[in-house]
Amino acid sequence: MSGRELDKARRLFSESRVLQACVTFLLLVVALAIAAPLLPILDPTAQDLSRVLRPPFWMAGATSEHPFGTDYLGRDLLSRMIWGSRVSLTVGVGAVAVAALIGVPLGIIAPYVGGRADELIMRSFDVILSIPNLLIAIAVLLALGASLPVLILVLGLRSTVWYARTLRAKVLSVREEQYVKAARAAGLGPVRIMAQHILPNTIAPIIVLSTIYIGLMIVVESGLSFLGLTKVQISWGFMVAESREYIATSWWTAAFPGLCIYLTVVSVNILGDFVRDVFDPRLQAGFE
Amino acid sequence: MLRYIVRRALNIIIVLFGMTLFVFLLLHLAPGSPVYRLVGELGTAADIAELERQFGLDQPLPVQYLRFITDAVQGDLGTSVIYRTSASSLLFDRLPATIELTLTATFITILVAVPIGILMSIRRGTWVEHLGTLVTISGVSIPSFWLGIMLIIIFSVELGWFATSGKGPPLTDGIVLLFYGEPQSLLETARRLALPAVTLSAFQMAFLSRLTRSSILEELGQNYVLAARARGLPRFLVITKHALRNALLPILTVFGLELGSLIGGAVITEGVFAWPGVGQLIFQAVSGRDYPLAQAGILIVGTFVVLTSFLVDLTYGLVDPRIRYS
Repeated sequence: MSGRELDKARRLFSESRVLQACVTFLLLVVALAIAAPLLPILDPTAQDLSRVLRPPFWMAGATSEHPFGTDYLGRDLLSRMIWGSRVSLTVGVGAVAVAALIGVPLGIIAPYVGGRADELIMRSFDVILSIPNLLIAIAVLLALGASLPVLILVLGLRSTVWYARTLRAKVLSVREEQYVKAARAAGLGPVRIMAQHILPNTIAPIIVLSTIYIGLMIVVESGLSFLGLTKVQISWGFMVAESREYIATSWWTAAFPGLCIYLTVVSVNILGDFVRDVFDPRLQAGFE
Repeated sequence: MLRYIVRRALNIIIVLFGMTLFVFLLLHLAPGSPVYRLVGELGTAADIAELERQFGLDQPLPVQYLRFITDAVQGDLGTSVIYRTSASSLLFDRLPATIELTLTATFITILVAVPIGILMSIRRGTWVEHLGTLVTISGVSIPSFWLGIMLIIIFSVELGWFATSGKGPPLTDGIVLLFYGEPQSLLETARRLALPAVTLSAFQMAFLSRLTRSSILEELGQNYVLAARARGLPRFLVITKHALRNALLPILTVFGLELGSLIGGAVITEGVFAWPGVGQLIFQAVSGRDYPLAQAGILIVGTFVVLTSFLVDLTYGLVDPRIRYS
């Protein structure tokens, strides 16, 4: 990050209350997720059939023990929401890490080297992109069995395509720049050119893409959890699925966990817009 | 143009080939023999071997793949474990309902998103843009299953305006009957179609609005726009007649790619609203562990997506000659 970008980031951040609220919220969610075992909250799996479907604190019939109410088995919703955040955050960050770790080298080396291998990689991307994200994940989870590592790998590998494609365009243009040609003329090897001259140019799109993808991955994970395909006991998506039958009488059991997903992803996306504004001055232009 | 069509057609054949290979390998490289699920817990090793021989699973993989392809081309995508009938006929029966839902969703998307995008680009820096940003960023962030359930709680359970689930008479029948002075059928269709269609289109609507806004803003920086403004043309006219027309191409490109995720999203939306389409069938197949049906569904939806993007590609070729020759 250059000094100019840092100044811009500081200015944009101090100007926007919404952005500040989102970052605060995200920090809070991450902190709660990490500290979940240490927090003085109820056991998220403890059932209490004498206290099922209790409403949240502002409604009649609420108990102070369960500020956000209880679900159909009498389990504490607040505690389940805090524990449930762990799955979403793990999958979101994990899948993006997989995508970046594979997509970045692939997106830089393949177009730089070019030739048959590059052509083959681009063709296989067409195939992967032709099947919707959700359906690939469903197919793989069904075939290989539902588990969190498989889910992270599937979502990450599929997103690899977008990293490689985005970087490819950047690499193809940077490759023709004078300073890269000069470096080549000066006798630098391809590895040094890629590492020292091309990689730094791709940092901005990588950061922008990663922020946006964390949000997207959380949404896809929650959908798969909702379908019961992730096999995790406590997750926001699965909590919504479990409460589907009770929405006519106890709307909060479905509303709260979904609200967690929504607020988290909105915050990530607003952060993503901010990051893009900082790195991509082109989008600020326009006539007025 | 003909050369362009042929080149694109060859490309989709490669993509379809790759897709079948992907689904096939997934099915066959998965741990455990597929016939395990047929014989159940009580099956002996001899039963399994016999079934494997019957299904040709003892043959080498390339031979099996060839059979899989020839069967698939003839419309045989295997037998559903739950329904005990041909998976492909089950899926094709459900196709009209899904087409009705996705087309309605696409229609709503375009009708709402393009004007919002234009409005956001005209009214930059005002409350209109801020509100638009808030709405569109919510649209891309909201999980569709949750949006669907919240809409059911508010509009069906509390207000009683719409049905909670199921499908009404076909939309086309309703439209025809409307011309004969009988709006009842259309109203019944709408009462059941509205919520799932809005749920399914929410993400695309938000996405397309943002896309329209940014492509128009990009065009607004071009010289021809400045020239038109300098000649004294009103800003609204410059945006709608000049900028929008050029912004339409990137909008079409990305939206064409996004149609796939619309059809993919139908799995969840149809599941939430018990909409009797392909998506709900895949939803059932997944929750009932009906592997052949789920796989057939994924293949059909994938083929549908590929063909749609082929049609979108051909449209660009017609709209913009530059694409044909590149």
